[in-house]
Amino acid sequence: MVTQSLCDTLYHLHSILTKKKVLDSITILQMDEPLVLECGHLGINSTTFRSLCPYATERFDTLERCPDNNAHLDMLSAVLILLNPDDARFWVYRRRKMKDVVMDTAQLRAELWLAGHPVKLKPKSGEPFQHCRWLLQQNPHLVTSVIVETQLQMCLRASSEYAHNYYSWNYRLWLFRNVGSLIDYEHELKWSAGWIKMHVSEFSGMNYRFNLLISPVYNMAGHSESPGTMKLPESPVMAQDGSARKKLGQAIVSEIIWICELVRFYPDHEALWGYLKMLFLFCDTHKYEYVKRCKPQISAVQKIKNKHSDMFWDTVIIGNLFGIGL
Amino acid sequence: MKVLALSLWNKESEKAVNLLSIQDVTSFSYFQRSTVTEFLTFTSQFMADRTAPGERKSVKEKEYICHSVTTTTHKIGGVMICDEEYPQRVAFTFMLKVIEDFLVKHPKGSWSGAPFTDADIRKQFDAAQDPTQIDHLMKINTDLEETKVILYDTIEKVLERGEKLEDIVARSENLSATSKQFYKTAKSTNSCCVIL
Repeated sequence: MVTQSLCDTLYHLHSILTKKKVLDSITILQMDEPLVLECGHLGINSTTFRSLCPYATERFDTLERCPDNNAHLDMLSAVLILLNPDDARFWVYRRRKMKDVVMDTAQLRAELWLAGHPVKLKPKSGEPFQHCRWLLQQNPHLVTSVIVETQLQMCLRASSEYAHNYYSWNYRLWLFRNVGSLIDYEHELKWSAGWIKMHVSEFSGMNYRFNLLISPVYNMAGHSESPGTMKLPESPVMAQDGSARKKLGQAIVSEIIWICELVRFYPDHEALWGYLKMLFLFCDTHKYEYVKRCKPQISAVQKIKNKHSDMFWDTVIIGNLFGIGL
Repeated sequence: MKVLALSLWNKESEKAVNLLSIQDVTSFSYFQRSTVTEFLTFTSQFMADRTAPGERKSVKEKEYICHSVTTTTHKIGGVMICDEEYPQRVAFTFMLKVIEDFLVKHPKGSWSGAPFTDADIRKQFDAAQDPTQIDHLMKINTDLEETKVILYDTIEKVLERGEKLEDIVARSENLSATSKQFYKTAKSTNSCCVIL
């Protein structure tokens, strides 16, 4: 009886995940019904959730050993990537199935839609982003600006719901570097500024914005896949266009002035100090002399005394740039 | 950076009476919003009751902070619940400004016991989501530096001797049976953010 009930819930859940065009959120709740769908929001009974995962996993493991159960395995894997997104087996199964299949746009969108559901329940999981990246890499001819926008929205959601989300920021940066021609650059710059203003502890967002700022001059394609660090580009392919370099310098100076203002307003947030240091180190590495125009702002920041400012001024380079020491 | 709730309280009697309440629960999932709303109201009442005239308190509970203040002249309490990124100084300055504005628009004689709704204060609340937008307020209340804020690590540290949070939750008129049950279950499973 219980098994039949779980089986029915499994099919019902699969139907919701694949057929519903609007699914704004997925929440685990204490309630009487196994599933509830209200105004595009899905609620899953917490007891049902705890029972469904091992039941579906056992069925998946059993059926995987038999050759002709593709339809059931497809259904089970679609649900299991939501119930247990950190278990790579179910994602690998789906990729193996799609590897030799020629997808069309509708199929790609359907699979991306499915892969986006776990983010609504467990935003810190990395597997959904890895799966989406694989899908886009496998089908570059099918990627459109609409698809890229849905991926950016997925990143935004995950970053909003789980702070310092390495996976979502890493994927966002990958999108920018690999399908950046389908992204509105100016809109993305403006968006990232708004994000930093409202998330002053989030260094990942600042690192992302830094990469946006320098991208017109530095070709980042093929660069290291570790954007979450403070590592500066080691071997950039720099544009030979002097005007582009000058424009970048001016953009960096404007950025320094803006971040100095934010540091004055939020002096206790280490991420802001870290970003300011990153900008100065970049200027010094690439000999942007007109960074000295920031002297009034940096002098104002010099008045702030806390553990973060001490670490900031520790960087001799910054002192050398302005003749300001400890 | 998020302000979840702002409320004003009449502190002339022993139990604080709600004058105004604004909340933003859009960052919570759809099904949790009603429970979150109730707990925001409960926490605001709890803090308003335990902040004496002239006192300022900040209580940290996981990633949220509840700031409360009660004025000495009019005995109006202000409670603001934000995330931990939100600057403390801005929170207190903003609450005192809102109390001032509230008294101008709704003088004491006009209080009937029912909470007010005020579109202008709602607009100020929305603007306060970005502290830099209300930066000009920082220049108004210069005596803020001299008043100490009492800091608490958890909401339980605000309890008086002999009080138990479970009992206060069970007795609360602000919480539905569902919310009370949610609190019990979350507490027993040691879930995070039991109150918020």
